Amino acid sequence: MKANERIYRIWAPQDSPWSAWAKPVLFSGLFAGSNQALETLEVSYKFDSRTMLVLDIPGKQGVEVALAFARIGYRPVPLYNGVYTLEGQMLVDCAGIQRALNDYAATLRSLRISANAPPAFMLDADRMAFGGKVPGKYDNRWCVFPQDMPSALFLKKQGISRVSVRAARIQTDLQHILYSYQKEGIQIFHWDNKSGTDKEITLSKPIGFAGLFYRIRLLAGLTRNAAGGFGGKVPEPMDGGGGGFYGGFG
Amino acid sequence: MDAAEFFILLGTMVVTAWFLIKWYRCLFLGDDLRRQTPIRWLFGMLPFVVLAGLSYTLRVWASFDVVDDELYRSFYTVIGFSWLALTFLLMRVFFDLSWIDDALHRNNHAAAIALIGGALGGMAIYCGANVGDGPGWWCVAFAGLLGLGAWALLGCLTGVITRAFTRITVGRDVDCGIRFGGFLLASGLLLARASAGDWTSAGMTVVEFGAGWPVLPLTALFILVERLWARGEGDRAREEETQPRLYSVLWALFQLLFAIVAIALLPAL
Repeated sequence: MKANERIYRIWAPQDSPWSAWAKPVLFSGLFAGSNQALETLEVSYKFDSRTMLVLDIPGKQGVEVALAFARIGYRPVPLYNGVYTLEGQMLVDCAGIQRALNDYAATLRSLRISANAPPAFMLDADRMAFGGKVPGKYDNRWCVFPQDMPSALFLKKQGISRVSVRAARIQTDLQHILYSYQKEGIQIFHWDNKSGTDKEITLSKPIGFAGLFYRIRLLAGLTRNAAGGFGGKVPEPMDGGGGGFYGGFG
Repeated sequence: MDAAEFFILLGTMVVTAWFLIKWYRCLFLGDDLRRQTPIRWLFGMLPFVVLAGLSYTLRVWASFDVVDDELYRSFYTVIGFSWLALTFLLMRVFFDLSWIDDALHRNNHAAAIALIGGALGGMAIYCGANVGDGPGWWCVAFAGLLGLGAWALLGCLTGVITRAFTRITVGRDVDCGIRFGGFLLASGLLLARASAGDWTSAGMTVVEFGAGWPVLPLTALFILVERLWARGEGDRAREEETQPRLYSVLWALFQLLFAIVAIALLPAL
């Protein structure tokens, strides 16, 4: 087994029902792997097997927070979908995340997480931080779609009835997913840093919710990568084409 | 082969080459750690199945000036592969089903099954449009696009009404994928029959397209059954455990049987 595949399997073990949603994109790069378990953050949060976590936190801090939740029994599930490259300057710098996934793999392996542990889905809050395509740069902005996370029905089957979100703000792409959960009777909570508690929220229906062309419209503004995920060099006005361009049929 | 046919051949050759290169490149190249072999091989076989179907149709049922002419058979085969690309594009736009995003990168088996059913349904319509005599490629294009348009419209309608698209792509409901894939193939067969026949005029082709009327009761039946299947969404978790996959397979087979019997009962071409 290759090093990157070994590390991916630590983050997405075959015995976890949530591994089907883990994204392999950031694991396809250059990995040497770390053999030492590293120190991790600590969180004061009461484990609840009925609660799923969504960690929408920027950069490698997201990986560190996920590890802290893994220590109390949650299964971290990386959903990072922006490609890491050495080809040029990336719009979303995911080098830190990739390094953290690599470095903390040994720590995660050392934790004994139950096969039916509730999930902690990991997102990069900076995934769409930069407005649009910049010529000459590597556009690896990405977003999360309802297809990237389990359905409300699946969550219920796994005994999940609450979702707690750790994010500075709930971004529109995530709102589409959370609203679909709310519609099916799952309670949504937003972690309040000041009070250190979960506060139940009621989301309003996002524009274009469950629309047939929602995914296509959203994808149109991003740069796809043929190997999966998002990433490709935005051509300069005088360039012949962009590296890793992906388009066309289906 | 006249100038128009030459340019169509050239254009469709470019589209076909682009489609097939991208198809196999996405299937077998790259370093995606989660691409599963069964879906890769299933999708890898699809162009060969399409080629076999096209070859048989063009050798046996096509226009008299095509069956014995290798150049024209190649011409319609190349167009056929562009048709396959078009079918996937329509499924992407109108059914929200993507072979790359859903089947390959998300390893969604439900989407893979529905997409295979859809691809075969779309290709059946093209094969149907090639059946019968006609003065040129536009007869095939007209009848085929009529069929493909109706197929996409009905598929979109059923998907939206039954929420099949969401259940396949978000819920990864394999049973729903089997049932919807069966519907796409069965409706494709019925509309293939509607698109088949000798060419007389565009108007007559539209009139003769009415032969595909059994697709309407099939669609109504599919919507009814799918709505009943999905009834009581709150309890679906419990329901699904008691619904063997066999029922979905049998329902998909029933739809195919319905299409075959309906075609057999229609007047011969």
